Amino acid sequence: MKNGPTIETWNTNPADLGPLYPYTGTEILLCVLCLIFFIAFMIWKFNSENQKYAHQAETLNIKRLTNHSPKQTQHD
Amino acid sequence: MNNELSALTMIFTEFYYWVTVVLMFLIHVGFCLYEVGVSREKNKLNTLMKNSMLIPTITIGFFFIGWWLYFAVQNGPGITGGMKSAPWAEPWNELMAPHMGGTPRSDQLSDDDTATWSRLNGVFWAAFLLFSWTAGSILSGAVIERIRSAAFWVLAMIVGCVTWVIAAAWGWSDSGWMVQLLGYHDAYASGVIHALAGGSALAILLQLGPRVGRFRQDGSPRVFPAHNTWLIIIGMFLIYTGFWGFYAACNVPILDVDAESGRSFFTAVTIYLTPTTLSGITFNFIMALTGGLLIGYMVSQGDPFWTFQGGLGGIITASAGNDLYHPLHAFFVGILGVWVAYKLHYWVERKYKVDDAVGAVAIHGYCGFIGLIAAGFILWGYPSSMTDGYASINPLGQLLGAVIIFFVLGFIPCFLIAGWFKRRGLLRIPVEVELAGLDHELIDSESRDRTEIELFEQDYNPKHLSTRADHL
Repeated sequence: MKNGPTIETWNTNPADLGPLYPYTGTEILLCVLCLIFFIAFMIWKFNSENQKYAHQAETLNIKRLTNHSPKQTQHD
Repeated sequence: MNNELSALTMIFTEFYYWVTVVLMFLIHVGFCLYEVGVSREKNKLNTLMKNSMLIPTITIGFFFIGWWLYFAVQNGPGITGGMKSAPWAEPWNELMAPHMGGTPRSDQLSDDDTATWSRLNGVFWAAFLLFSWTAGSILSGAVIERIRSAAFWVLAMIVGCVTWVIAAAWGWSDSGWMVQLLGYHDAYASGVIHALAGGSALAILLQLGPRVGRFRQDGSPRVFPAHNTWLIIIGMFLIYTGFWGFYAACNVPILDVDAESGRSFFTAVTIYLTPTTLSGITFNFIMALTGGLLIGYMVSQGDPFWTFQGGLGGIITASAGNDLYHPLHAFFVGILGVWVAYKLHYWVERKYKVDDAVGAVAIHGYCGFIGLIAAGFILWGYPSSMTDGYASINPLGQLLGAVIIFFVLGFIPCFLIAGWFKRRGLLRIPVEVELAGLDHELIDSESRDRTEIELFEQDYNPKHLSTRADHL
């Protein structure tokens, strides 16, 4: 792993320049972190969506059973 | 990059693909507008977010697996060879990032790899990625107003990062096994994008079922009126506009097609590296659009939705052979595809109660499938590639290719995965929420806030205050 800047001067032969980004050698670590974040996002989405729809279905059912339309409820 | 001509060629190619990406972005804008316009008022924001968020989900999947898969599985693997090596497309490779093309750090890369891919990797990756978004968006429109977003994004990732990419590797690359053995030809992706996404959408729709109330008890369909026709029309025009970028991205803008003979002849080439011209495909694009618009208007008796869809269907049908057709071939192929797709759409809808909210299966799936078959007959005997020894274009090869793409790669994986989600109650929203609308909580909350603000303004209105003061 190279710490800090990959480029130390621009006054060199540009044909020799390779990666421009810093901290070369950390690519695999960055990939793993990105995948962990994305998987966490998807798990959060599945869970929050399940909870939201279960709650909404229950609320809407209660409203229907007590014969309150959503519009009436908002003025209550 | 050490002489002006090679630098100009490379940087022109890089810029060319960058422009196609910008143009293709309009396809996604168009799909969003179109889909939101078709949805009902009570579902419009959820519809927007479901489609918009496929951008990051597919992008992550394509960065990690899709781009590499395109190169790796061109031989099957196991049909015409093993897995191919493509280190520049591995997500952790130095070329999947800003790079000036100097000597590689990795032993897997050659100097040629870095010189070429440091300039082209990002723009090629993005051009393919925009195709992936398109595939995801095709599914998105069909399933609106009742699918759960999380399940949809997983399905969109499967199509956008895996199945269409495999189809492209097999049939939309210069050495894919379908090109070699079947003579498969699909220059502007009638099959690998449109037929595949249409087949996938059909599979999901069969698992998902129709929206509540879409069919009467006698089985006849009801029409759910779109909440905003103008969004639909503007969206469709934007898709047409973005499609120019899609066509341009299917070409390599400048390549020497006669290098092996020692002579040189620079021209634009297709994905199969066979010569074509932007001028030629412009003729064919517009004539296919024209044929599709005319027949769409005619069969639907002037219905704006089907007329605009017809234009798109015309282009999609002719796309497989638009590198080689005469403009009037493109015109008549477009007419054929849209006419058949329109009839088939209503037949399938009545017979199998398939509720395709935007006609995606018809315009993408059926038109794409028909386009492949038509190219097999019209281009029968043409070489499929620059490489001698590959099968030539033929109707049977195109039919087999269409079946592999629509059913094997499109329909079956999505049918199985959507079925798995369905069995676990993760595919469809509860019926109570569907009836109230996916945006009902937001609409109720906005309505409460509006009432509250109105009451507040009424209380503090200077006119009311002065009136009260007069009374006092």
